Amino acid sequence: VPPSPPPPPTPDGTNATPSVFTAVVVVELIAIAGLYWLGRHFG
Amino acid sequence: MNWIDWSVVAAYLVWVVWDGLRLSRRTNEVEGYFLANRSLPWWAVGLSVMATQLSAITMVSTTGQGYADGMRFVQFYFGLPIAMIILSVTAVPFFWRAKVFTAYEYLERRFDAKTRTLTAFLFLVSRGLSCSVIIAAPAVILSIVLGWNLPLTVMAIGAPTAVYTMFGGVQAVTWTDVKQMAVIIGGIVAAIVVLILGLPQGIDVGQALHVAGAVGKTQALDFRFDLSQTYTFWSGLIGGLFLALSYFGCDQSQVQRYLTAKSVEEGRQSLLLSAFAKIPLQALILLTGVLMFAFFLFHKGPLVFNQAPIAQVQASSRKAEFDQLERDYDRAFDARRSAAEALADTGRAGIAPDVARYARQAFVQADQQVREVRARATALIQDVTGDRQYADVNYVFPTFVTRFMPVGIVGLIIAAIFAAAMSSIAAELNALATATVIDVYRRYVRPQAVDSHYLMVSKVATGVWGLFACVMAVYAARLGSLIEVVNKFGSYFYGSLLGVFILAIGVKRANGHGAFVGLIAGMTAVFLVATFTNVAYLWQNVVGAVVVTAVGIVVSGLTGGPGASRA
Repeated sequence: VPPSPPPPPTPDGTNATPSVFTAVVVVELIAIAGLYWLGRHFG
Repeated sequence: MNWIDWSVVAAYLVWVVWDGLRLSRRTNEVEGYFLANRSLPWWAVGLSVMATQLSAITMVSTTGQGYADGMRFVQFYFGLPIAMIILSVTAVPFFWRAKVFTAYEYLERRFDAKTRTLTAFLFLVSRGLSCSVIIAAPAVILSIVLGWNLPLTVMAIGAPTAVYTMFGGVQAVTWTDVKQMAVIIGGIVAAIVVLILGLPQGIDVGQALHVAGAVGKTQALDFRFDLSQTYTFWSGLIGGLFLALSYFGCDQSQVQRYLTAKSVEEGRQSLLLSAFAKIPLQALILLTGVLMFAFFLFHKGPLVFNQAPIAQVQASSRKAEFDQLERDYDRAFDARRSAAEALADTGRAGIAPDVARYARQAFVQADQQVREVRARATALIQDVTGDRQYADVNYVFPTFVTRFMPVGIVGLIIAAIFAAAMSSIAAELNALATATVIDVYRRYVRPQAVDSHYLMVSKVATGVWGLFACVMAVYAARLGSLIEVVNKFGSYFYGSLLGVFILAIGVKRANGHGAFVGLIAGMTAVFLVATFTNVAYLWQNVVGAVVVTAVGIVVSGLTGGPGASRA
């Protein structure tokens, strides 16, 4: 299987991909879940 | 403080000034002085963005907030990562490609001169005053805790910062921010290590958090939708989103950071660094406060942490009453320590649930006793001094540092507090000078001068703003209420300014008349909401942005649509 091509540039000409934004949201959700656990476990 | 600690602080101050001045060789034109010729890597800009936002108030007050209120304040930052994503696809490419020096310069290209001038004026007034507050707030605390003279403390924080910012420009600001961020993180980590090692034998971190959690200190999330509550999940997510959009997208002290990046992509990445790191970092700082609460369960702190008015109370007719409170506190503290040890013990396996529940209730009651004695002492001090704003939460961390930390580490933490203050002040001074020179001097006073002239004026402007901030800081420190006034003024301005940029970037039909009238309407609406309702201040940012956008669209429509204000 040939390797998939790199993602096309965004309309503003840069290579930003939604994956970084998704990663930000995932990290925030993990942080909020961790804070929830902190309150439940020790509260 | 020991001479070793003094040496650490002195070495830090000398190093930071030397390091900043070393970079002055790279700033021989205005674009280099204000924007580093758009050459900085994303990670340096990203750390500078974080260091600018993390002031000494964050280090001292947020740990105090963690001690008193627990982890709840972390919710304030829940909107920030989303704001960074939005800004990285809107504000960063817009401002970077427009090749502007200031965010307000862009508003003249998009709207008209009056909109640019009003927003730049609001920025200069609010940031000029808040810069003095950023110096004054830690200076008051450090001068009391360390026994320093107040004007001298203000100068120790403000003068070195003004010197390296004045000569080194944005290069010095950014690269010293990077190193100061390392000092700040080092200081926080050192505090956490000392707090953990300072727990009594047989009590580990888990048990300490278990005890702190019994009185709600580990509860970070509050899902109630109550507009009067300052920190809830929703106020942080929605109000915090608007505040972060406004601060990082419209405030020159932050916009200027990512305008120095090498490219749009690097500018984006610099903001996304904060998006990833901000919530964990703030949680860590608040956790330091929670661990400090646990530490002071087993190590006796003073009855009140702000000791400044104690001599006045001891010399007053109510001395006997205060002495009695000291004795009550001794008894209440001993009872609470025993209750805390008993509760910590229930964390072990094989303890009956009834025993654990009883120990928890006993600890909650004992903690309530301590809080009541402290509340009576605070009320007494307020009566004697007449200072209704007397509080001691901001003094908990400095007291812990100076009384319980080992020699050398005390110096490191004080240096970290200095670093946190200086990194924010430097960015503010640099941004204030940029707006003064680009939006006022070059726009209205000398539009056609040579670059070397503007460079010279820029350095003078930085120095004058530094002097202004230091002088105002001494006054602000003596008039506590001024700090509140400055903070309130900032909150009137932030959401409304965001509304103007929403019109500029997102509403094609908006014109200068709409933006100008909308901005005034938004600030008026926020003032009315703040004065006549109990809506928490994070929501005021939403009110400001929505009113400006709505009024701006209507007025633009009534005045002839896009381009009308240029006619």
